[in-house]
Amino acid sequence: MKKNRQKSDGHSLSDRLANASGIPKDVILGFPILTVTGQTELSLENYRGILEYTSELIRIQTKSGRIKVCGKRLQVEYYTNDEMKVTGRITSIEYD
Amino acid sequence: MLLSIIRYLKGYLKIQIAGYSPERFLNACSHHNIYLWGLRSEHGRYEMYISIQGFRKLKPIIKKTGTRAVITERFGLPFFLHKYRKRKCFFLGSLLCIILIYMMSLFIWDIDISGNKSRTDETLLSFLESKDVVHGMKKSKVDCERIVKDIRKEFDDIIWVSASIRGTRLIVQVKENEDSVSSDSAAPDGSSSATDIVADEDCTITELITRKGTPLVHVGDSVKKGDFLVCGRIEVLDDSKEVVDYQYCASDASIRGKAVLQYESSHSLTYEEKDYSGKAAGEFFVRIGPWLFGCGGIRNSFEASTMFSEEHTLTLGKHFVLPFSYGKRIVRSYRPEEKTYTRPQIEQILNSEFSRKCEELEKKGVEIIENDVKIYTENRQATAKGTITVVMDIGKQVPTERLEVPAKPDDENPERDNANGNDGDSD
Repeated sequence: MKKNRQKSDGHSLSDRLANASGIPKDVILGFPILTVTGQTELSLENYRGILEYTSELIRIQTKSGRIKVCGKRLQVEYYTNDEMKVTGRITSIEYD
Repeated sequence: MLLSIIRYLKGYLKIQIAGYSPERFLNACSHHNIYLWGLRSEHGRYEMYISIQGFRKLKPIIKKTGTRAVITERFGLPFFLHKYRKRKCFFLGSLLCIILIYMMSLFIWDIDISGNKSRTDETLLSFLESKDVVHGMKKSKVDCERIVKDIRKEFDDIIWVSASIRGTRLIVQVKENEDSVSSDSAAPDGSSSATDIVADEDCTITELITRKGTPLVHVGDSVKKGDFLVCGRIEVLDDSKEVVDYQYCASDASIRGKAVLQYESSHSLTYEEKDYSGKAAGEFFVRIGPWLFGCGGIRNSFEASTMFSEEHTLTLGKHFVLPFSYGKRIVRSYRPEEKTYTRPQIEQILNSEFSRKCEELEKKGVEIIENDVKIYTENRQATAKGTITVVMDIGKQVPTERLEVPAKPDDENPERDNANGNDGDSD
């Protein structure tokens, strides 16, 4: 529990290492990169897989947690090993 | 855009996935590097697009994840060709089209000439034609280096030529010598032929500016045609004003003179007017090479007739003239009527002729200061006759006559020097 809090506060060893070395965190820690264009497009990198997909909800598993994208008429434009793109009307993006 | 074309060429499918865990299926696809796009989830069913290659790798994944995949639609060229595989003419046609395009690309369809200013395209094209470089010739027979050499050899004023083939087009770029005029006038200098300026009209000199040579006349002098105005031979005098040598140069001067030009123009008083109210016959025709095919008839028994012909030649591009032309010909019969001009009409005709002549003169830089042209009407014709007094540029170049340097004074010179010396002594 303590370790978890440390992680979320951003004081873990690897986090500090990343800070010190200046290497981007998505490379070292495998953080996901979300690029949101307006409310209609979401590009996602560094993920592991889709957990759930309906037209109102997409749940994505990443190395550092799960991301929940809610919206309407959600559609996956493309889905490859490295990147996916979601279109539709996005109402919320949550981190579990 | 490019991606969708590639997809179309390779072919792709729209599939529907149903089963326990479609998400697992998606993850497995991405794990196996199978590209999916256009995912849509509706009522627990998933629709998506997948390439043919991807679909072939799908079998183990479907088995593993326990889902069912159904092809709902097929897109792309492979399916299109398969659908119409029985249409043999279609394939034959496409094959023929490819062969034709290939064969057409073996010939020169357009000769593009650029950079020419004083030489027209037609001049260069007809020259190329004489060297067997024509529209429609085989590309493999074009020898660009030969063309370049030939053009350079034939046209002195073209100083640079480039010939290249781009596609089915032969591009000839030329560069003309822009100061060819000055080099022309410089040519006599170079060939050491000195020139005089002689009068080309009887006139009175009104202006004389000599730049090179010895002026022989003065402003106000009257000269006859053929008189020398400026001499290109300059005498070199010694102390005793005797000629010891001649220097030759090409004379250069601006000379204007007042001259009287004769003008006469006559016009018949009667003329024939054609009354085209009679019958006419016409036909359309097509000309293929030397053969002419007409539909309709223009044979007639008209006493007097005029044929009006209109012909359009088919061309490919700008200069490639095909041996096809079409047009129409009309033969109209007419009744000739002899008519006479009234006095004002004939005056107007002669006046307009005269003013056209004046305009032509003015264009040449001739200044008209007086005209004394009158119209005389006789029985059958009217004549405009008289003189025009003008101020115009005078002079034309002729080669200078070369004179032997007078030998006598040269021989006597030393003696005279001696004599002078003697005189000095005696003084």
